[in-house]
Amino acid sequence: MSALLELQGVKAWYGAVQALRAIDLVVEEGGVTTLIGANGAGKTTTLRAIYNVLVRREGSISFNGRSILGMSANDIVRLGIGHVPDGRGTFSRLSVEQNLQLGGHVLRSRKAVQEGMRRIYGLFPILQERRLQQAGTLSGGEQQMLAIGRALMPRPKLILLDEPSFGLAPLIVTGIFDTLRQIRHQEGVSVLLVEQNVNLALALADQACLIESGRVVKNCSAETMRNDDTVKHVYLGI
Amino acid sequence: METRKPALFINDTGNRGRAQKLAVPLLLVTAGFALTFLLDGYHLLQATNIIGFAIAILGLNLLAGYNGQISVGQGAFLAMGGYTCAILMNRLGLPFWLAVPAAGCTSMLLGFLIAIPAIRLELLYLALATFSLAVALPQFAKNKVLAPWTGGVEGQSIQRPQPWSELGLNLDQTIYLYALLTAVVLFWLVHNLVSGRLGRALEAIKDQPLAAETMAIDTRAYKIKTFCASAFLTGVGGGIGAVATGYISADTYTFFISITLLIGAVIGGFRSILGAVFGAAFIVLVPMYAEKVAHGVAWALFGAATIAMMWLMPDGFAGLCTRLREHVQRLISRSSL
Amino acid sequence: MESFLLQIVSGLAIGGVYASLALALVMIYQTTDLVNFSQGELAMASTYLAWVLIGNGVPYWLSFVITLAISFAVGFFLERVLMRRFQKAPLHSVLIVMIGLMVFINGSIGVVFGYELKDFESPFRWLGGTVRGYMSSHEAGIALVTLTVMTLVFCFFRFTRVGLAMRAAAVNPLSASFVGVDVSVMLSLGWALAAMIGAVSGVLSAPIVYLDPNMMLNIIIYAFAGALLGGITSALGAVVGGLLIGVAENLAGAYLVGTDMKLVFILAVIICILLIKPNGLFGRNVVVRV
Ligand SMILES: Nc1ncnc2c1ncn2[C@@H]1O[C@H](COP(=O)(O)OP(=O)(O)OP(=O)(O)O)[C@@H](O)[C@H]1O
Ligand SMILES: [Mg+2]
Repeated sequence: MSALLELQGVKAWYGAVQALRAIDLVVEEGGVTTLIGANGAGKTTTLRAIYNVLVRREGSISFNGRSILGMSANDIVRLGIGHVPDGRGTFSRLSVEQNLQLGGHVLRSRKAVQEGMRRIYGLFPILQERRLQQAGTLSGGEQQMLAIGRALMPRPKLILLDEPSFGLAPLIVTGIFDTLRQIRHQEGVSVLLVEQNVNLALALADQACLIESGRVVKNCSAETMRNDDTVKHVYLGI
Repeated sequence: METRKPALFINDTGNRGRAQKLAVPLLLVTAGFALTFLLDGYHLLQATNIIGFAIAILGLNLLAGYNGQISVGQGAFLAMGGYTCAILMNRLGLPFWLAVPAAGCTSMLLGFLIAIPAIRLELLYLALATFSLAVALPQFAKNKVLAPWTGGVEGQSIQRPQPWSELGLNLDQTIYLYALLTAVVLFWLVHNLVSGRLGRALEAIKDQPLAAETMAIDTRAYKIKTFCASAFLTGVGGGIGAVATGYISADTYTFFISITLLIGAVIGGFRSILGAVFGAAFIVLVPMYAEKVAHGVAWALFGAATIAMMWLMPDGFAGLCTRLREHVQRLISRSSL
Repeated sequence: MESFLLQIVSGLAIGGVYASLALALVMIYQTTDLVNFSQGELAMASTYLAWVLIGNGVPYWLSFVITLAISFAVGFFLERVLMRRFQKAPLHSVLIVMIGLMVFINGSIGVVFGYELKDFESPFRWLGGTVRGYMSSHEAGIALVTLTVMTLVFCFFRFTRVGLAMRAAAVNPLSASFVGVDVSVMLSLGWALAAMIGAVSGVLSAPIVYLDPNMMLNIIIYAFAGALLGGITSALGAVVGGLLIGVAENLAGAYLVGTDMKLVFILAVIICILLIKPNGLFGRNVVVRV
């Protein structure tokens, strides 16, 4: 397997405040890497740094062997990186269908958009039922599906997922993670997953990164991470 | 938000001595005094106008620079001052040097009435409402019910006051000197006001409204007071302008006068006291020359200058002076090493 | 009764002009949370452009289309070159820049074309003198054109990709960039569309108020009132508000305050809305500090 996304020595700033100090991580082609760490460690910021939104950054970020450091968010989408932001970021005053249409904004033809929507409805049948409903009125789980569906619209090679389980009931979370597995195999998407529920995350991932105060402190396989004593103690509560 | 250096003479607790701090104002006042005997009637009239506008702009500065509010309709207070002077002098025969402070007072009353709704509005909506006020203003002056007082569309001449001939001054000189003295007093008062406790409170309110409230600063009361003070100053400015010109009508106080005042304040720098003088000179002198070229040139220049100002030096002319001075000081200290 | 109806009908017609300008204001408000004080003057400049074209023998409707196209480009350019510099500036600076822009346009047009009133022909003479005795032919024309433009605008936002992307960029710029929308282009497009729609209001009102550099000064505050009444966040609200203000203005002028106090009446309306119902009829919550 080869590296699809690779970050080396990435630093990032909000205005004058430095939030990332040294981030190195790799997402393999077809693999799942999870990013774990305490609140405020810089997980969301890492995703923002990859996407070049809200932060100023330095270091090296490459996708498919090509540096994407100078690219703007809308170019990055076109390269094939999808983003499911924290808080889901659906367009709450637009309908489910319009949200998905927007997900297909970078697709060239109307036909491709239609086809993409059919694909997403296949993955999440509930969204088809709620097609004309305003996104803001969906349940939390449905909104998360919508956010994932929206990111999958242009058939990305990689998606960045920021806390997909946030605020959801355990049953729904399990459902979402099942779908993620399905997506991974069906669509061949690689995933960079940020998740508070470390148990679930490590079960899904092959690789894991632990960050503390903007620094990657441990970078290993998910298996090794699961067996690490401090990780067990602090993040898994065992 | 405010990381900019305060402009000239405000909170200026630098290491310069008192004498040095007083140098520029003293120089200005002396020069102003000398002008009384140097300028002919027409130019003296323009000089008086500049002073009137400077006081009016000072009012706007107080509001914008310290309350963080923008009034696009400051012409209303100018009009209130002008009409008060006209009515008091024509109807009651009040001498002009009493009518002008009275004009400030009626204007302050109007300011109080406007302040009560105004301080509840966010900046954008306050600008919108006062913009509309500025557009509608002439219709108040033209109104038939008020016409016996305002003179309606035809306007009214203001009785020429008695010159202070005991001092050997003619009428233009009298009005000019009076305006100058008034300005000196008011500028000095405002300077003391903003560099004292009130200034600090206003600063706090503007930058950190919530924190200010928890520090038990009565935000509303301060804002209303500032509004009143601002209206007072602009009213006095309007009074001086009306007395100097000797005639006012609804067309004196169009939308454009309000905008002109705002532009004067911007050019001088909202947060600067001496900037008001520069801004006033700008809005009086530029049209004097530019309108000779073609009608509208001054206006186009005003617009261009305003945009350029916000682009290049958002602190106005006074901010530029501060920066230049710092630059020179740095050069001096470097060369003396 | 007859005259009352007449007032309403002609109010609706002139209300169409206010509605277009209000719609232009809302368009910029939605993307930037700003009320563009120079919108009226931009419309005025567009009207002069149309006047020059027509004066040079270009057919009316062709001039109309060219004017809209150029206004669109100018709006786009203004946002890119000028307003963009002030994106992060404090609000009062941005307001002042817009007022400066307004003054600059007003003065420049005055220098070039002078300040005397100019006749501006109405393209609707062929409709005959009056339609059923209620409306002048020009008023009927205004209603027709405004309706068409509004419908086009609504279709644009509802059915086209770019329209949808603009809405997305307006409601949630961050998410919009996550789906590949170039948010900065959308901001410029907002200004461009606003300038174009404003141009419609200018060209349509010129035969009524005559053409002069100050022609939009009163109209812009009617448009403010319309936009606020409908709710400054709502495009539909702007249209309804503009029409209502047109009617209210006519009725107040005829029966309440007299024609010479109409502006004062509108000022009162604006202040009442701001104090009593700042979100207007259709608007979302916008925080107004109390
Ligand atoms: N928009 C912002 N502006 C300024 N600082 C920010 C911003 N967003 C985050 N930060 C700061 O950057 C640091 C990292 O935050 P980040 O959101 O990346 O943490 P996180 O690991 O995602 O935490 P959580 O698990 O709570 O989501 C924190 O100290 C935070 O305060
Ligand atoms: Mg986070």
